[in-house]
Amino acid sequence: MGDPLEMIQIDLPEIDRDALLARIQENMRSHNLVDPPSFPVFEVMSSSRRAASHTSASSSLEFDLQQAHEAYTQTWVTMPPLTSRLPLVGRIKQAFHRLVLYYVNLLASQQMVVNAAILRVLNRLVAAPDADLAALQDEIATLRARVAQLEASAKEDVP
Amino acid sequence: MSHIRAIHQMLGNAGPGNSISAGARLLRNALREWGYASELYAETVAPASAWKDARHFSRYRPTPDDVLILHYTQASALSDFVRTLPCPLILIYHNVTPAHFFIGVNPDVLATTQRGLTELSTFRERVVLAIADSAFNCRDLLAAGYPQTTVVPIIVPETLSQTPPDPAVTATLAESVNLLCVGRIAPNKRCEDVIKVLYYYRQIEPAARLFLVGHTEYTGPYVAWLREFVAWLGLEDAVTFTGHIPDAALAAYYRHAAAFVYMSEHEGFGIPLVESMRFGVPVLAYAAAAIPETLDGAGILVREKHFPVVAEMLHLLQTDTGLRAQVVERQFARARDFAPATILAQLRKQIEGVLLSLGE
Repeated sequence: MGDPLEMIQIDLPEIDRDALLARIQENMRSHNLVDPPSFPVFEVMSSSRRAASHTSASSSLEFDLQQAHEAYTQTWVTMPPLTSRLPLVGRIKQAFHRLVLYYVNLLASQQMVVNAAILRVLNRLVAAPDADLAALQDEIATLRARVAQLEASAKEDVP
Repeated sequence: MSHIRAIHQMLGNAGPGNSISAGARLLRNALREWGYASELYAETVAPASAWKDARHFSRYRPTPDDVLILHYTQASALSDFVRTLPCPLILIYHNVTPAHFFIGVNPDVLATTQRGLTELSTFRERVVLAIADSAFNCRDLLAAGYPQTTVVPIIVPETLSQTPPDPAVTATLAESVNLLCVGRIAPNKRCEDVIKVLYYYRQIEPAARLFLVGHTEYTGPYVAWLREFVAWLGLEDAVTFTGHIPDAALAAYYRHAAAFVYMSEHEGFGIPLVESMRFGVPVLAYAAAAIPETLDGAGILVREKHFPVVAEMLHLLQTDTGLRAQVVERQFARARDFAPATILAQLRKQIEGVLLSLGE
């Protein structure tokens, strides 16, 4: 750990800053605060953030696609069970609740299959222009080389 | 003597809860008192009846006697419109949040913030006075090539600190030690760092809770990640995202806050700092961007984000009443520098100075 003197700035002339920061150090020893394993970082957790650094229409498309990827499985319904002060009524309500959730989530799981299929199609559609673009760029490079070759040979033919 | 008879203001959003529009409203009232015709024109006008006096910018009709004040925060349809107008401009620059904070968070905001800074210079030919609300913001104006710049702090109306707190919100705050952070929930605010402070502080004060007050729109992936982060730390019961709330509720949070914790890494001014100082809430803020300038020796600055140390500092603020009183007293003194009457007098001097030169 660095020096708290460097970390905290208090500009109050009436306060003995050194004494205050010494108290912080003393309290840190007595409180012995526990660190978590390691804090996740926003940038690391969403690695696609850095990739989407351009502002063209395709970045909006990537963003929406990413949102769709994150959301398509979130159709499950979970709710706290219904309760009652009367035990028998409580059990009946819970059984009814489970039954409703079973059928709702059955429908949700079928919806997820549909969502996944739609997303696969979208992924292919998004990827297709990139593949086409790469092929076109290759073709342009080949044609440029051919033009350069022809220009060179034309110069050689000039008497 | 100047021929200028009207000074109108153009701003992005007009409505309750928008700090720039609240200040613009005070300025409009002052301009009228100073003898100018003055209206507010905005790109988005809130439907609330209190704001029917702001109009959509498309309704503005320029006359040769007009000067326009453009409140600039980003590129928009409004800034495009203003660029086409023939009137002399006074630019009030409130800062553009750097675009990189919005990569992967919101492509629309990413685009408008990127354009925001690059287009800042495009008003240069017509701007007769460029005002930044902090010296930090002034750097952007100078970089954009504005030769005549000045710094006048943003007008922060005092109505919030005079608003009676919402009793329903107050009732929820009585049992806990409440940390507060106010502002749009956006990556530049580093809300995760405030949550980290709470994580450590709860080991000292288990009754501590954190209230993140501010809009959660436009930054969905970041807000979703923050919620996951809170759950990962097991702090679901201790962290509340209130969203945007009415003034009475906000006043309740300020009145019952043990401390205002601000770990933001980019602020052009930091209006919640002024509000905290007015409410007598001790401020612990990361020393980034305009924050040290706004506090100017008040509050407590965090130079390095070592969260256990910040948590211990919070603990001292809670347990040492003498220290707390001294911090709060210094903050009250600083808050007086931002009294609207003081800021309006500074603006009047700047505006009338430039109008005189236009008359010549």
